[in-house]
Formats: sequence, C-alpha cells, structure tokens
Amino acid sequence: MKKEPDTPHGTIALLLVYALIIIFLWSNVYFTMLSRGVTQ
Amino acid sequence: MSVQTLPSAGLAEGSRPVLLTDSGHKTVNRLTGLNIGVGIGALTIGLWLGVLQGLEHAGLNWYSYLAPGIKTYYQGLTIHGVLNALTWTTFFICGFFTYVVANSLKRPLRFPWINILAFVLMAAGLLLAAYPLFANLATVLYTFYPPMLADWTFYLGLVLLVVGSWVSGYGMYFTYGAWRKENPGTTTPFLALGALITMVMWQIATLGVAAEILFLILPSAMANSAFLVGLFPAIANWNTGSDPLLARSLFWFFGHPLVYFWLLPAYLSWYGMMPAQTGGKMFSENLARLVFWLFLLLSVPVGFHHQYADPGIPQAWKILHATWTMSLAFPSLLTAFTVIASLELGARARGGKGYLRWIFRLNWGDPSYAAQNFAMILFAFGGISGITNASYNMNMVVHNTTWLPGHFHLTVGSATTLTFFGILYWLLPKLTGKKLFTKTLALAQAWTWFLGMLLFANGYHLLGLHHGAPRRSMLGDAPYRAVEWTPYLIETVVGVTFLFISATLFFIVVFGTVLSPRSRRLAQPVEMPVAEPLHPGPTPKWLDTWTPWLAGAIALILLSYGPILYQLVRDMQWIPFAPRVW
Repeated sequence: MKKEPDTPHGTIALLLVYALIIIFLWSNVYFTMLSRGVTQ
Repeated sequence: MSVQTLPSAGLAEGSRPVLLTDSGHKTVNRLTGLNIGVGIGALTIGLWLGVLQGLEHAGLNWYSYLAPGIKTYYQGLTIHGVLNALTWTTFFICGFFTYVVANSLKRPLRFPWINILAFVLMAAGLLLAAYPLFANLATVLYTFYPPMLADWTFYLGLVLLVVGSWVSGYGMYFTYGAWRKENPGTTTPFLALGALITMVMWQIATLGVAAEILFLILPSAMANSAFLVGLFPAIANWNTGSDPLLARSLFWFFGHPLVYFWLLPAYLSWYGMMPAQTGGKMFSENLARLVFWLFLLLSVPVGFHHQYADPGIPQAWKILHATWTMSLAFPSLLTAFTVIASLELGARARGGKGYLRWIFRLNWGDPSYAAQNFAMILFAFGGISGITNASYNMNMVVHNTTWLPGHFHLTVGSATTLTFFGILYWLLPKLTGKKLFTKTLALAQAWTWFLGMLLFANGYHLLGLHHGAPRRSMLGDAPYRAVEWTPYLIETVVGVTFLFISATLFFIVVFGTVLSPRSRRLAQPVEMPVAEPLHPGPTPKWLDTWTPWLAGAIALILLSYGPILYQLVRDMQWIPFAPRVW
C-alpha cells in the first residue's frame, strides 16, 4: 500500500513508546498500592 | 490612539476593518511589557525562595540568613507559591494574551483603557498582598485553607489580582467583538480563539475562589483587624468563622482549572507558534480548535479529585469528578499527537529521516524552540504522574506526599514556566527591538532547567511514593526523617542546584536584553511566529461557535457541582478561625 506523504510515522512511533511508559509507570504505583494491602 | 481605517468599498456599513498601526502596536507592546515585567519581578523573588526550600529539605536551613525579612520556612513556602504559581503566571498570561489577541486579529485593542485598568488593578492587588506576605502576616500557603486566617490585605490583594485578570479578559472580548463585527463570516484566527477560550474558562473558574474569599474568609479577616475595627466598629460582628470543607470545595472549583489556565497558553504556543519555529506546519488546525473547546467544556467540573481524602464529600461525587478528570486526558493526548506531528513535519522538511532520527533535526539550536520542546518532554512525565494522582484509589498512595510537588513542578514549573521562558526568547527581542542578550546562555538555561527539573521531580516523586514523605513540611527538621530518604534528597538538591543555575542564567538573559545598549538594536523586527495549517481549508462552523460549548460547560458544572454545593451550603458548619501559629 502506498504511504500518504503526510502520515506522521515518527509521531505514531513516539506515542507508542509513550503509551508503554504510561502503562509501566502507572502499573508501578498500582502494584505499590497492592503491595501495601490496600484491598485487604 | 490613532488608527487607520480601510475604505468601505464592498463592505457593509459599520464593518470597516480597523488595522493595527504603529500606534496600536505601541499600546499593545507597552501593556504586554508591563504585565510580563511585573510577572518576572515576582518570579525573581519566588524562584530564589524555591531554592531555599530544596536546600532545607536536604538539611541546609539558610532561612536564618534572611531574618528578619523571611522568618520561617513556611513563610518562604507561601511566598514561593503565591509569587510563582499565582502572580508570575497570571501577569505573564494577561500580557502574552493581550499581545496574541491584538496581533492575531491584526486589530488594535478596542478599549485600551480597559487593559490599562486591568494592569493597575492587578498591580495594586499584588502590592496589597505582598505586604502581609513579607510581614509574616499571611503564612497560610498558597491554598490559604481555613481555619488558617491571614491578614485581610492578603485576601483583598488576591481579589484585586483576580478581578484585574477578569478586566484584562474583558479588554480582549471587546476587541474580539469589534473584530467580529468588522469581519462577518471570517473564521477567528486560531491563536486569538485559543487565548479567548482560556480567558473565558478562567472567568468561570475564578467564580469559585471569589465566592470563597468574599463569603467565607474576608469578612472574618476584616473583623480580625484592629485597624479596620477601629475605623468601623460594626465589622467586629463579622467574625463568624468559616466552613473549611465548603471553602476547600470552592477553592478547588478554581484550583484545578487554574492548572489549565497555566497550561493552555503553553498549548497555544506549542500548537500555533512552535511548528513555525522549526519549519513545520500545524498538522490539523481543526483538531487544535477542538482541543481548546474541550478544555472549556471539561476544565472546571473536576475539582473533587483534589479532595479524595475529604470525608465530607460523598463518594459518588468524587467518582463523577474522577471520570471528568480522566476524560481530560483525551484532549491532552490529542495535543501530544497533533503537536508532535506538526514538529515532525518541520524536522522532515529539514532533512529528518527514520522513525525517531528526525528528532535530531528539530531546531534545537534556537533557545526559544529548545526551551519549549524541553517543556513538552517534562510535561509528558508530569502527565503520567497526573493520571496516577487522579486515579481514585491510587491517589491514597501518594496523597499529601512529596509526589505532589514533584508532579506540579513538571506541569506549572516546567510545561508552563519553561514554555513561557521560550516564548520570552522571541517576545523580548520583539518588545525591546534588541537582540537577545546571548543565545548561548539562553540555550544553557533551557538545558539546565530540563536536567534540574528531571532530577528534582524524580527525587520528589519517588520519595513520596516509596517513603510517604509529607509535602509542605520542613523535612530537614523533621524528627521522623528516615535515613532511607537521603539518596532522594541528594538527588533533589542536585536538581535544585541546576535550577538555581538555570534561574540565574534566565535573569542574566532577560535583564541583559532589556538593559543592553541601543547598538544591539535588531536590523529587522522580530515577528510573532505563526504556524500555517498543513491543509488550509474552511473551518467547520461548530468549531468557531461559542454558544454550544459555553452552554455545555455551564451544564456540566451545574450537573457536577450544583447538587453537592447546595448540600454543602445547606449543611454548613461554622467553626472559628484558628489562632496564628506562625
């Protein structure tokens, strides 16, 4: 398939990396919360 | 003020466009310069006090050297918050927007006296509030929660500052109204629209803090003043106390949209100016407009995510506000996509290749651009910690810990302040007609702020998360201070050292530019960078129409705050203000 000339491939790549960082850092706090037994 | 008018041929009666002439430019530039000058003055003091706080947390208490000027850590903390978060930002934004609205509409201010009055009110408010702050009569931190009570002049000063910013907005609305009449059917330029939406959102948001001060604090503060009671004995009866929960709720009605009042001017520059500074175009102007309307819609009904730990607010309301808060991530992520795509266009036009290598082709050599790009990167991390704070149950893990100052130094302290520094690196030469004092030091300033804030914010986030170190506390003197805190505190002190260097460089560049000799005059005047849309085309009418968005914003506020505020007012419990403990 021919690529559109204005498709921001770099932006999409960067935002995918950002999404992974969000998931990682958010999960880090989430598991910290669980480790403190908040749900018990 | 003299203005030049176009001949009326082809235009309906009463719709002749009024052009921005030299005289109009001069008025706008002067007002912009005055506002920004006062803002920088406030920042000068506020930043140094921030450095002292960072040092105190590491055990280096230098406040004793400032006595009797600054007596305590908490007085310094209050001045730091009020001058940086409220004063620097408000003055800068009112000045910057005055410039943006007039230059974007290419029209002089409709009633310049309104904008002059606004500046006078704001400056008077600042002076009035500064007196109790420096006299240690208002050490109540920048959130001034009852039952703490400061001197009445502090609150009156804040009221004047806020009212002045409203009046500044009115000056912009009248200018826009005149432009609208002169240009029927023309789409509002994006930069002007973004500035106006921000000011309208601010007008709505500040109703909360105005109500808090006028009804719940100021009467008692006045009744506590021997001077005022001596003049008007009847006001002694006004000392009725306050309801801390209602006061906090009204404060956060304003307090979170305040964050967007800080951020949206930065967004405006990232969307509408930065791409032009790196050879790019706006990837989608319509998306940019949509984002600003969404912020008008969603900025206010989110305040209870600051009050998750307040027992008097029923859970359902907290969950509702948490939902709106999470929905604000949508326009923020739209911004991330659109702005980065706009910059990528520029980098590729400058020869950038690959999925990520194009980043090196951005205009990193320009301090104005670099500062704003660093601000964006820091904000990306601030956004993540913001999503975490706002997650209902996870908030309890970091609530009232140093995580919070770590977070907001990435937002107001970086996304906003570093962007404003970047804007100043083109705006100052524009206003003064002189070259930037030194590009190299300005670039060094951007780098050192970036590195300093990364270290500082990382240290604070981790210290709060892993050890629950409390915020707003004299940690250096705390008996509960643990040895495990040391690595994080050392990291923050290294960060603070970078920030101290960066602040010094900033002031050298600013004052060097303003005070430099006439020989440094620019051969060519600097122009406001304006990014052109990648695909110019007609803007859908719904993205240039105020009524549905304003009606939606008011409806959401009524839905999200109406019943609970009614309940809080109905069940108000007045308690006396606490005696001063500072």
